[in-house]
Amino acid sequence: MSSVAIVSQKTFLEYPPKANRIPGNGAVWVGIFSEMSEFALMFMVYFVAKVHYQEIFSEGPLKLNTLAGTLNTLAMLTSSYFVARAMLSIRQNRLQACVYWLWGAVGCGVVYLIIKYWEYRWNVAHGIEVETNLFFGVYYYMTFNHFLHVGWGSGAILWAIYRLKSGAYSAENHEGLEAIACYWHMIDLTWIVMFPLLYVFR
Amino acid sequence: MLNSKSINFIWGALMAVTIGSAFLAESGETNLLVTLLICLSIAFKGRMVVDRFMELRNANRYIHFSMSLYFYVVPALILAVYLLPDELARMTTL
Repeated sequence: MSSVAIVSQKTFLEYPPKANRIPGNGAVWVGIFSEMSEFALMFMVYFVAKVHYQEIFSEGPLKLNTLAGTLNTLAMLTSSYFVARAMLSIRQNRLQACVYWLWGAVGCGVVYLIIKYWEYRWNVAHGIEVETNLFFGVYYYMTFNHFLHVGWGSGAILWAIYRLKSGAYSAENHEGLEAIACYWHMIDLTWIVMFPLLYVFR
Repeated sequence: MLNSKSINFIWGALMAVTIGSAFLAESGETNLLVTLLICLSIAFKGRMVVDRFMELRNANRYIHFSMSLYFYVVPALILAVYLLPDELARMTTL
């Protein structure tokens, strides 16, 4: 037990993240900045629409299911936490622990997708559809876009688990895993903005 | 440096802020204080994920700056939309 702890600590100290580095790789950051720009454009559309249709955008959030939005936020933040723990584990060369944390992140992604699907069904049952008004049009466009990102982001984490089990990653070399981790955090970051915009801000 | 204790604490703080936001949503209140709390929650959660979970705090400074800026600009726009809706509507009318 103590020898394992010593080895783990040594590995962690030998391979900490270097200062001023590009986490993951340059390519993933091109993707992340493109996605952040795409979501920024959606937020700009939301802001412009809100100032032009103030009443519709004030009433809209009150009609949405706050519980679903809150649970989805908790799921996304927890998935990000699991991914951060996975990165910590890989640096300590605790590969099995890394796999478990990544499965936790995938689980949260699946929970998110199920809640969002249920929320869409709930919306329809309460007469909230894309054509209901401009607020709900923006809501569906933004949230469905995010829904797709969570779907393929979960797929990317499954790929990372497969690679990890194949021996592709270690404490010394885990660039691909870190790139996927950064991409997943980006998906969480966009939801951090979307939740208050759609469910809280009036 | 990232460690499990600090990550656990940050996760707890993010959960607490989210639940606080949910209570704000359910209260149905609309005023400057609520809007400021929304802005602060976005800035706090965004910066925590960027700095700690994504570990950009000591990473490439341009990436860190750009990602951090996002979580100051969006809250500033929310505040602007709350305080100056008619002026912004005039500015964005073709």
